[in-house]
Amino acid sequence: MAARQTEKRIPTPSLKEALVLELLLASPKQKMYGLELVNKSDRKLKRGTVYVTLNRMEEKGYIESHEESEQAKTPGLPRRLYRLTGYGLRVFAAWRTFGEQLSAALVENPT
Amino acid sequence: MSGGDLKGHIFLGSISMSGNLSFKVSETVGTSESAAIVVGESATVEVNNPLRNYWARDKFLSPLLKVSQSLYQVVVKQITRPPGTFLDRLAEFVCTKRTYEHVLRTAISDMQWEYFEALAAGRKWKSRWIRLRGYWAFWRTWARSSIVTTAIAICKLLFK
Repeated sequence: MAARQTEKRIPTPSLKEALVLELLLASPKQKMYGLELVNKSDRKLKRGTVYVTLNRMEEKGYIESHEESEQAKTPGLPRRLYRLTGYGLRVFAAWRTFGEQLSAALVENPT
Repeated sequence: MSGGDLKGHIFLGSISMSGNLSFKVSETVGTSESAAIVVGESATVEVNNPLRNYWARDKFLSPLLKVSQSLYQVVVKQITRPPGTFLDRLAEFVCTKRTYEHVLRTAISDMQWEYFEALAAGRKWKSRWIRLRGYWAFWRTWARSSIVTTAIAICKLLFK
């Protein structure tokens, strides 16, 4: 049981998390709102689930967020902006490399 | 002072009175409906365009503040709140700080922003649709968040 607790697991983002990381990476300014991510995901992310996913990713350290500054001239609650962290970038790069190598290996040795 | 001098589009939240002569905007809220703030018995300012609140405040509220010394009463006839205000308060009361700030409040704020954007573009029906969709997304988010939190708690108990 103790071994399980100290076990170092390779971070493996879920498909949704990988999509969010990809979108954040593709954004030139690299700061996006939750709704912006939903709109750019081509219906792969849903409004009802994206915030839970983003929160989970933030807890894992893949992304970081901060609330919009008070100076923003819009009424209502301040919006939350999300940005990729260095750790998130490395996880995504590793995940993508692993995926590419796996698919290459499968093409070479389909059996 | 004539009412016509102060007519125009303005977006105000609540007005707090200190004594009879002065008042200030304490917070900003949004509304799709037209609301009126009556100063004394003659001045009326329509609340209409939420996205122009800062501009409107400078343009209309400053003269109001200046002339308020000669007025005896400030009456707020109707102030409507932005969509999701009740849900925001409910979530703040019920949920943990983390869930509220990072999940539910974010869902509401994005909905409000989209709502105000539609209103500013004059698309009233779209704003209503956004409101409904936002409420649905909020409850789904809350349900999903609760399920995830419960699942994590169970896992922690099982694999302790």
